[in-house]
Amino acid sequence: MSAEVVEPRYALAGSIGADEAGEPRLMGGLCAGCGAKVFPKPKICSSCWSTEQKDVALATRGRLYSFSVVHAARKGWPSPYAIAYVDLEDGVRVCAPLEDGVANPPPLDAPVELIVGTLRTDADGVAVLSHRFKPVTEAR
Amino acid sequence: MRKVAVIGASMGRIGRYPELIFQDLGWPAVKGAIEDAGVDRKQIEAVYCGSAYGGRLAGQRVLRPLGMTGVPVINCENACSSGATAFREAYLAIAEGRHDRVLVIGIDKLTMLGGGVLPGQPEDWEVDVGLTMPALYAMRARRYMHEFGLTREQLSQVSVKARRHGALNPFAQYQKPVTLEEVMAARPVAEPFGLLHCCPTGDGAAALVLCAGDVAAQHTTKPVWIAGAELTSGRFVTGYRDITTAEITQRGAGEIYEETGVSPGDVDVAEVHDAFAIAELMYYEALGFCKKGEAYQLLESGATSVGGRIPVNMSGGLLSKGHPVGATGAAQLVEVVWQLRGQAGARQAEGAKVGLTHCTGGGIAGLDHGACAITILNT
Ligand SMILES: [Zn+2]
Repeated sequence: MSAEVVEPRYALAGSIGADEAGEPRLMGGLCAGCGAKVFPKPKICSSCWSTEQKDVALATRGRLYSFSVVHAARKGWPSPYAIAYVDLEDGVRVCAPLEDGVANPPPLDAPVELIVGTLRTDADGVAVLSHRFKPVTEAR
Repeated sequence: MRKVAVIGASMGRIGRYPELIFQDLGWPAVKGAIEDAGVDRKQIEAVYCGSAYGGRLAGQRVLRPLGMTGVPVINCENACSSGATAFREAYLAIAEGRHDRVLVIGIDKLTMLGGGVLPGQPEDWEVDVGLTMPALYAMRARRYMHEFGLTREQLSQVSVKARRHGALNPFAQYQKPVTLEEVMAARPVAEPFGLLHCCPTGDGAAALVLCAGDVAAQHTTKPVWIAGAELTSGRFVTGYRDITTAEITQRGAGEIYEETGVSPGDVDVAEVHDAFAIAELMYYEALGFCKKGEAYQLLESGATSVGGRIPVNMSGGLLSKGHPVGATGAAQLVEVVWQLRGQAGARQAEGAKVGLTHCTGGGIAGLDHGACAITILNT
């Protein structure tokens, strides 16, 4: 029986990086033409049409803009789960699963921070990972 | 630009018809509209067909059993606004002098999709991490509740009103009223929404016949005039965005009010895109029927109910009449034509002279919505 290393699968290719300390970072695009910071990284800037887009690590903290606990999920998705909009400190809004949002729904505008975790299991039985956010518990 | 009249309007009861094939869902509405208009089918010079999920050649498939192909058929896809987009293209073709008599069809058969939540936009990064259409509107609702103090009971009153109106409409998918308690206790879909805060999926078709103003008198003594037909798409915003404001609707409404000279206070009856309960409240505000944050007071006052100052969704709206996506815009227009002719039976808005239809939808990341169509009709 042969064994092989299974590389992690990400819901959004190229969206997860790591900083110097090895901590996960959510990666977006920084436009060389106009400085716009966008998630996910585009191939072309919708403002200035520059195709020079650099990878940039986005802010790891933000506030919870809104969320919903989804019960009627699409086929193959475990439910219920919580999905949110998070406004990052650097002006970017991301849609992301909210960790523990079903059991412990936080108030809107609560500070949240980035983690990486399992989103779902795909048809091959492999975990699909994505960025997620969890309420900030400790003081900064 | 020439004047354009609606001279024929027809639709079937919206519902779940898995036993019908697509063409058999569609042709009765077309036949009804042609007969209502008093035109010969050979007089129809072009057909505009809106469908979101119907697949290729939706219009030709519907026309074939009626022997009505052989003219230009323009198939339009614009998500929830497909039928209204087809209507606008037909209106412009006559207004600009290309045709004198055209047919509009809106049709979708959602039971073909197998039930459950409609599939999201492929290759959309928000869908890929778990966003669904009900969840998107649920997030709007939660934020609106947070900012304006709307309660879940108040939100639920939208559904109670919709079902009260739908109970008067023989063309509605749901014709049974519901109580506040039933809305509150329904099984959760995407919190704060339960099942009765969300429109059902269903099958439906609606059709209208339009003609140039100078030939309208050949066919009818009761033309309904098209004052204006607006279409726009959502703007792409990459940063923070206020999802409690329906940006695309607000902008589209501003444009059509300016173009037609009609003001929100002139509107006697309106059909708005209440795919989810919060949407109706947001659209009261975006269409200028009340100020921002005051939508619930307008609902509570009875102004938007049968007998009120500006009855909204007398048909039951999407929540009760149903929402066969690409058919919805055309079905809204059929309802308003009937209202303006005084043919709406138990749900008639008395003396209505100016009517508005509004449909918007199509979840696409970074845009308020994909498309928004607003039409103003008058007598
Ligand atoms: Zn740029």
